[in-house]
Amino acid sequence: MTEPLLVVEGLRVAFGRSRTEVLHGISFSMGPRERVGVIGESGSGKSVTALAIMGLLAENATVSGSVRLHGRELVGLRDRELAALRGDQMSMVFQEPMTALDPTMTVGRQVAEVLLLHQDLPRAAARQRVLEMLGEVGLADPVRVADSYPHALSGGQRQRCVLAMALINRPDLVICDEPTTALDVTVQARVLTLLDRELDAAEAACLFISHDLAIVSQVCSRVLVMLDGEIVEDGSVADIFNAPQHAYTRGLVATARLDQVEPGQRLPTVEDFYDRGSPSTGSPSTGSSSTGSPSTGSGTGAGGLGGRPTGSSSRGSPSTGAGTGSGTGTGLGSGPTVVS
Amino acid sequence: MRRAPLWVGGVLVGLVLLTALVSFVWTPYDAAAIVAPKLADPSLAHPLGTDHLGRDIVSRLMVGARATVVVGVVAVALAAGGGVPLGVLAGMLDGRFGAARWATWAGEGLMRGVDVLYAFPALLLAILLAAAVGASTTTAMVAIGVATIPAFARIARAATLTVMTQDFVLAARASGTSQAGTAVRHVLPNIAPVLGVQASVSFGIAILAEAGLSYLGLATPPPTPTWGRMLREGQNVLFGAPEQALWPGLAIGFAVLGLNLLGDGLRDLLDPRLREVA
Amino acid sequence: MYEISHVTRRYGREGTSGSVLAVDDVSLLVTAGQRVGIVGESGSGKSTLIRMMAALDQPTAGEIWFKGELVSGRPERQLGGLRAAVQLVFQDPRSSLNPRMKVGDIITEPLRSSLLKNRPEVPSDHRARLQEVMAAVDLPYAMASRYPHEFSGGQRQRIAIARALAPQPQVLIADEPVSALDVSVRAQVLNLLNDLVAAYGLTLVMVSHDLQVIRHVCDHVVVMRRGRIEEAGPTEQVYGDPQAAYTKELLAAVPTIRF
Repeated sequence: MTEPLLVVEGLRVAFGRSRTEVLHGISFSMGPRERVGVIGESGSGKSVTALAIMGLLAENATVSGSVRLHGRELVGLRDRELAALRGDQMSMVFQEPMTALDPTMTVGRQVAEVLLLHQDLPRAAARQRVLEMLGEVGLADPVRVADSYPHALSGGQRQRCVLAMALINRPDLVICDEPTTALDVTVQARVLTLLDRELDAAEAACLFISHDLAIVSQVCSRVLVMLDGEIVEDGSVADIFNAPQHAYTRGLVATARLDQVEPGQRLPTVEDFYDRGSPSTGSPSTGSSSTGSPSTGSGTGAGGLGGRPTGSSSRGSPSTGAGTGSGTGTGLGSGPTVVS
Repeated sequence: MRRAPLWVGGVLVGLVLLTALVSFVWTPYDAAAIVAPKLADPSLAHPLGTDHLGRDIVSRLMVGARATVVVGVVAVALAAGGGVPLGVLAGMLDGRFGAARWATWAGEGLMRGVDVLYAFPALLLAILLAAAVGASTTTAMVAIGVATIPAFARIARAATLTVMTQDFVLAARASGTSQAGTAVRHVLPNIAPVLGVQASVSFGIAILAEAGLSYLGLATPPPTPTWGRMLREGQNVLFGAPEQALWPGLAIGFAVLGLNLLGDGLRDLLDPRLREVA
Repeated sequence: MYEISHVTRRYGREGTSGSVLAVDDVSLLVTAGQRVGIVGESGSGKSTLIRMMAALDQPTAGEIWFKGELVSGRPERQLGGLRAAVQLVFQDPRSSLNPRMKVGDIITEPLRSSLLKNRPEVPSDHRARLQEVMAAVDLPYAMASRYPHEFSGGQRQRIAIARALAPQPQVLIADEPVSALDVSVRAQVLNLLNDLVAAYGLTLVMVSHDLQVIRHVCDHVVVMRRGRIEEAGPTEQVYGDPQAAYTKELLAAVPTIRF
């Protein structure tokens, strides 16, 4: 049995002075080259998990527990040491291609920056490597792209550049936070194929965060289901779909299989399977005063807001702390972004 | 304490306001009257001493607070009253979804017109007004107010543009709300926080401007004390009695500091709360 | 209901750089009671098209007729009929509700606008209507005094739907109504839309980039690309037997569950 690449044990993350906990001690492990999907709604803690592993959480975040990469403990490491690992042994692809790239630098320079941070190469060699990489991610004219500024490129091209940056040092772990959510569906299909190919080439493991079960099922072999800061289920893709254990998972799977419902028929909702109980914030459930509509009224107050700690006024609440990562605040892309 | 700026600022500003109000009803001595030997040292009777003519400084500071508050309030009100409608209009012309080209031009033109005012610093306007009708508190207020209009117009326009990108403005239009209705019901309430902050800042600037103008004799004429003129008068005796300039200087400094802190505190209080809880 | 005839929308002046042809010679017919889905990726012009249908934007060429009357090119004050009969639900629940207004006021705003309030088909008892629509979208009436930020994304979208329903419209135009919502909440909102459209006999025009959502809700579909209509027809037909190459590409790109 090969040594696991990443071991997360009892990871807890709290924000702000009030120590509002958003991750309640999660544990999982990943083997080398394994592709694990993380499914959950906004507020479930999936982006926070990713940022915690990378050590990119805001200053007012308190992290406890253990995250070990290649056996090396990451929690508690100083930023300088973590920085040496980022981009080199582990890298991250963010949701919003528009904001993931610096608009004032040419793309080539940005990709080269990642390369040169971790490898000592003469400029010509670095340039060569950058162009190779850009070609590898499927960009038709690497020279032109390398000398372009981000705003001159399309969303799909930008996301490919971001992928190039994430993969150029052949990291062992690539964390993707909703990398295709902001892209058009045809572009998305191509980027996913590319990701698949590149992960193979780099022999990298992948932690793939998404809200879309279908995409996860295509990219990953294992799925973690997160809810309200906890992992409620951890199994292979086949198991998750065929024999979901947790009620919430059953609800998610049912909701995802739109293709199994007759048009015009009522869609199954998560609440059909899993009762969230009283939501932590917002609407007090006064029961359904429904006029026959199937949506279960105020119980769904938990819908998008459920997992979050009660109206925390701390600066570090997930939407700001993880802002750059999960792109919840930057819904400017051409496609949808998930609202927390 | 995160709210420190708000509290400290609030206290300082509150003190100034209070002093000004109280001065209408009571001051230890008549601010214009000569009541003691000149340049007397601080004593129980005169906590801050007397000025070069023998007038009680505490009383003069209190009355001076009036000018500070009045000029600040009126100048800012003038600037806001003139600048905000202009800014909102320009913003709505420019920011409307699919705005016709003439609208964009009109919006731009409006802002360039407002920019012309930038060319006239308060000082210049005050001199012009003083030359025309004689210096007074009123000329100072008008000069400062008019000179501050561009600041409010710009901020109002920028904030309006941000609001205009929001879907609820479009929704209002789809519901049949008129442009004027949109401006009043949707734009104004949402730009209010930003304007409030600008008001605090401008208030501080206005006070400084008034001090400068009265220092130059372009504002309230003697014998009514204003902090600026007290500074001026203190300058004459700077080497012999430096504290003469110290008291009004400190008063001005604290007032402006208080306003800036209040502005910071207000911004922190009003804006993020709307965003955070979302 | 709608007759859209050779409508074109160009931004910027023709021939200059920066001139964008958002909608290019589009013609479309929508009959009462239909549920039309407009599907396309970014830049397809779908959002521009529905804005023109709601008279929030004017075509640079072509005409739009609503219930036999010309609505394109009309000044705002003559659009009362259109505004009362056609309502929109926007994509982003966070920006479609005025954060400084109470939810009850937001929902009844269409009833209070000067253009609409005296029209015979618009309900005049605002409070009663508010109660009705809030019940219809399954939100407790007590919440009408709250502010938008106190609600979740799914609830806000329901508030937006309630607002759209308030003036008893005949046509509901929904611009990506569930794209900004969590996957777990989408089903509820879609079910709600389905039920409401059926219950009130509304004509629905729904824009989405999500083919599965469209298939579930709409009986007709229009596929757009770069401002032009690539294909249109009954949903089952277009999905089952796509004619245009682009339609096939779109259908093939939809991520399917695979294990």
